Amino acid sequence: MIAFVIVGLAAIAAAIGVVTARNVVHSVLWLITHLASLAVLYLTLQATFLGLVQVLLYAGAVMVLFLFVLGLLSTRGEREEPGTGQPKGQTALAVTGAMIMAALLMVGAAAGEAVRSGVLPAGFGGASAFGVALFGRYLLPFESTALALLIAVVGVVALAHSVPEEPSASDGFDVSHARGADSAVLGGEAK
Amino acid sequence: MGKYLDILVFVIGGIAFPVGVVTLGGSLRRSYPDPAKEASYESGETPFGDARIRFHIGYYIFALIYLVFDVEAVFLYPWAVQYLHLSRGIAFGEIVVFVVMLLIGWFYAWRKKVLSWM
Amino acid sequence: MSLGYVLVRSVILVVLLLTAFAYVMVLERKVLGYFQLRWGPVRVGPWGMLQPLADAIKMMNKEDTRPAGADTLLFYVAPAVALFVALGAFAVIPLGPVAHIGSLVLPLSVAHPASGILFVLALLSVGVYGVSLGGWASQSKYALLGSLRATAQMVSYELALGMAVISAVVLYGTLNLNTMVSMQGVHLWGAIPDILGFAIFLVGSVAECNRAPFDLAEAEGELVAGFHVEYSGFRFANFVMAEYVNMFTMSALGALLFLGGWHGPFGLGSSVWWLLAKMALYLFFFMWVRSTFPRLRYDQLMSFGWKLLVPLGFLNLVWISTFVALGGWH
Repeated sequence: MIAFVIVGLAAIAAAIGVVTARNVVHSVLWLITHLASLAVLYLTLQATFLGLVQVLLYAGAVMVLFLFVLGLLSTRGEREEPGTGQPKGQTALAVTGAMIMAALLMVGAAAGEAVRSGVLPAGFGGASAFGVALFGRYLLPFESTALALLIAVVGVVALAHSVPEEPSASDGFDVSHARGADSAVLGGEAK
Repeated sequence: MGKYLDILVFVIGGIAFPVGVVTLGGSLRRSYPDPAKEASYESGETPFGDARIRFHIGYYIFALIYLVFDVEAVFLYPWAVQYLHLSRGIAFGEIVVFVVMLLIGWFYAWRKKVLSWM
Repeated sequence: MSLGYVLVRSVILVVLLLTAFAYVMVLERKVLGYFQLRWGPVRVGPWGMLQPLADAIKMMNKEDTRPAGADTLLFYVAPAVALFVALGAFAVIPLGPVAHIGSLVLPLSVAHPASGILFVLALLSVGVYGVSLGGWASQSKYALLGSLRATAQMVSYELALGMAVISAVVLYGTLNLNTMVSMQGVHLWGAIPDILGFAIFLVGSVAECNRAPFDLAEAEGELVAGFHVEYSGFRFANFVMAEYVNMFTMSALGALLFLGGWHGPFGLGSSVWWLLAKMALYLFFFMWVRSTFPRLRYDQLMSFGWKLLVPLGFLNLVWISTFVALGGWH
């Protein structure tokens, strides 16, 4: 219970960090912290498998993608483009949101305690229980996940082919770009 | 949950040691800041421009495919744990449908040369 | 299980780990030396055995520099993240069967959660950030290129590694490392039916630790030192320490999942020393590979991972599940 509240507050603090950080990569770091805290919350609620998968997928895979996307969109320093400054009331909004979240957390903690006083089935939240549910009752949703993932692969292929194909051995590093020329270096576009 | 708390204690202890040494070392050694020392190392050339370039799109594409297959791998864990206990013929069939669909995607990506580094 | 008990055990394990780290590093230099027909470190102490002490003192006295344009927060956080994750993963590795000292029952790991192997994989997947954030924060071209390559490489090989681990999970029907080992004590070792899985794991673990021939992140010929080129002193040492702790974790996992853990071959009893011997062999393999193979080119590296290891992993999974369906060991 105490652990739940502490970690919950940490998650909220990290979420505020995501919104208020001036640097996008700092935002990513905060988001990783936030997602990791959520994983710990799952662990405190006995959902072991969900907690570990949360780290594996969200903190591990999705955030790597975020980093690459930020790099792709160019994350040069703290230089701000005109009109993209901090909108007014952002901090106030973040704090209000955080307070609402904290209130919900308290309710959640109370509710969680109510559940805890009930009896959880043995092995609740483990991979084994997950498997039983997934391959028994929820088989159809599970198989449709495969279809959704297949569509995602097709999407990736389509995305990859919207880039002009031009073989180059480089890492995408272009000297003319580094000298300050503001040309984009996406694949072969700059050449 | 207690188990995970033990891990936290261990990790904090493990971190405290090097951090302590860095702090201790900081009080022992002298520090002479110098612009030349703070320049990033480029094999002796004078560094120019911003190092934070735009990344090659290939990294992004690979991260995307990785994400898809990682989601798939996560679904395999509960199956793998239950495989010994479920009715095996059915469990095998269930996973074959799942994996074959993804292998089609994998094969498609290969044929479309997405899996080759550009 | 009082907090004091956990604390004492943690301190002992950290000290052991750091000693092991120091000496494995000297041994690696020795082994590489002999592979290249030279002596390796011999000057400090008998047989060069006081070298780590000298290195530690040197590292402590190095000036702590930070490049001018670097991102302060990320630059300082990155090495800590790397070490944090590496230690966390090692914490759940059981080093032996439960030890009985008098009436005291002593499990030989910091913690043994039911989903041990999943915990290790989850932490390893976060380990990427030490490398990628460190390289990005340095404001250096070499560092950025090194960390980019490393990130893409680590996620790619993580998939292959995951497939190998899943094949082992199918074989044992559990995520618990202790149970896996005790099953191998009753039946054959995991590597006997799952030899392909073991091979994939072997290659994947080398790539996951960013070691030669998969050390494109560092590639000293072209990137000087890759992602940690701008780090000096103990912050640099933190990265190296994380790399070695990851090697220990990988070697222990390889031994636990596929090589019978702490069980001796041919029913020769079971003890901690068997596991340590297997880990030592595995670490020697890391060094052997490093001194034998030239570094891969980046496109070769990605093709090898995606076009060979991943499909092989699937194939192996089919074989193992057929093996288990046909009755397996029983």
